[in-house]
Amino acid sequence: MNTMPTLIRREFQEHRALWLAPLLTALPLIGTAVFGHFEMASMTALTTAQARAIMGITVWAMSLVIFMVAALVISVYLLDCLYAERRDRSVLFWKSLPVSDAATVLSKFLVALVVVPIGVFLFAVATDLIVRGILTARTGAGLIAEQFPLWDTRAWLQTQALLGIWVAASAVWYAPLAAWMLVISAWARRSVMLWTVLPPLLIALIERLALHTTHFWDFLADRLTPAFPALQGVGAELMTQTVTIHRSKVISLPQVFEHLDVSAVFFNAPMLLGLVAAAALLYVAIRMRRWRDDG
Amino acid sequence: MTSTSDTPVIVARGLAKSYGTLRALDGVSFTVGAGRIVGLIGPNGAGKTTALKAILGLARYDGELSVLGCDPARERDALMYDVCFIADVAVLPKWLRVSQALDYVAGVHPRFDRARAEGFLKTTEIKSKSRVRELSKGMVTQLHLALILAIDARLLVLDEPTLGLDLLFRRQFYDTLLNDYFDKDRTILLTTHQVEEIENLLTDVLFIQHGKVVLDSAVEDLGGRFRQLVCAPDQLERARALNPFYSREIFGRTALFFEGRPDAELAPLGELRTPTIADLFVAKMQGATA
Repeated sequence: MNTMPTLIRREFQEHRALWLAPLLTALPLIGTAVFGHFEMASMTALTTAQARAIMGITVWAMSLVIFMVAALVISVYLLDCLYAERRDRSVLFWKSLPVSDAATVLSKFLVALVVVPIGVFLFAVATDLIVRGILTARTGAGLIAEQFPLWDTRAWLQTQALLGIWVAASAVWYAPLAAWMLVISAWARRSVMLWTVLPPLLIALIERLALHTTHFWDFLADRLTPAFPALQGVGAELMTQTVTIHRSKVISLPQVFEHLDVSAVFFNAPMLLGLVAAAALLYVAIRMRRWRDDG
Repeated sequence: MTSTSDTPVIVARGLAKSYGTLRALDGVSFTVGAGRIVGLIGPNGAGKTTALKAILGLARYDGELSVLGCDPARERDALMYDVCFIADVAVLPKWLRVSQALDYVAGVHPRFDRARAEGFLKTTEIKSKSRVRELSKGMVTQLHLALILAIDARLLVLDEPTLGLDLLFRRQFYDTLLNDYFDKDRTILLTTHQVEEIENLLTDVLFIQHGKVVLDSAVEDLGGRFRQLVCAPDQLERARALNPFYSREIFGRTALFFEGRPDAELAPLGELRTPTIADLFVAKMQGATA
């Protein structure tokens, strides 16, 4: 008896894309590190601040690819997880066992917003280390030029910490959206994607036509913006913590981390209200799974 | 009533459910005692599945319902530790591996005996690495049965568990159920279309038609209550005068079905016997609509 771990393991058995997709995304990154040809002559003679900024950018770029793929498979997962079991009627098997609807819905929510994000973040860190390891080895063997930015442990750790906070903040920021997807997944008889998108758009349209205002639309646009810029204070930090390299302004992520007020990222009204909304929507999803009768 | 303990397993009082204007269940009342095997029998759309869904807490209902002392609508989570069900064959998801199914049930059910399930699977051709999609329909049922029978539950509900299976699998299914699972502490409630195949299995029958109970009886009491008279042609007039509730022509002779007529009255008119449950079902259903 180990209900929650069992439920979570089950999700990865059914939805293999959750772990396969990030894994496959890392392959071209590693392949590039092994076989790629790098011309970085222009990166010579950097100041420490510039080198740190470049460290940040490279960590960011590599992780971002994996995070974007993960975000996509998580979305697909959320829309499918409570719909698929009704479509193939296996919900009747799952419901024949002593697992509450609350535990079931919660397990899917946790997989999407806690387990996969943590797993993907750690995987991106590992991928980054592997890629840098390979590049370092190739440089050492004289296979590629030496100009690749030198290792800077502090800058690397700061950037990874910033990305970790970003992942966590994104999970909280998108929690209501994830819960909304679960509601639709538990409710729609077909066209889950359409039902997820259509009602909010309709509300925005009706508001526009009836009241000639765009409050709901603005609210949606704000919620759907990638978490960081939308967050309290962070957007401003991103804009100011820049380093000029070759006359272009580059945001220095290690520097952003140094100036970041972490508690302000999480403890602000939009984040907390989002969590309240997520809790309410989760309750709806649980009730929906409890009583949805597809005949 | 050999082994019925004091508290009934299921008590339904005025159980009702409507889908729009359709009265799927129209005030059904019945009691199921412990250690019984009850056949819930009725034509398509009679309300069988609706009743089972109410009992399993899968759908809302009106009226009173108590299953193992719980209200299935409010206390479903607790109830499912003691109740098991096979809603239909082939509801196991196609992606699931046999070993994953065992892991899962072992992980969530405190009264699942994994060794027992594995022992049962060893008697079949099911491999633990196989996915459900690779199994035949009969094997999927065997797998489902292996999982359910290894759970020490007090009430097992089966809704058309052998639908679409060939005779060999059907026979094996019921043999396993009776030999390896059933005992005096367990209760089985099942629906099926193949009434003939479960005749000898049932201790009680519950006929249901148009959302109403038309017969609720222990099988052992049926003989005293219902008689089937195969009548000689010259006695037919006299027999019809005794108010049979159904009659049927077989090879030029007439079988008449009586309820509550003493044998002394019927015996002189022809060949008398206890109707089979299948015959009685047809008689009750057609007699009611005639």
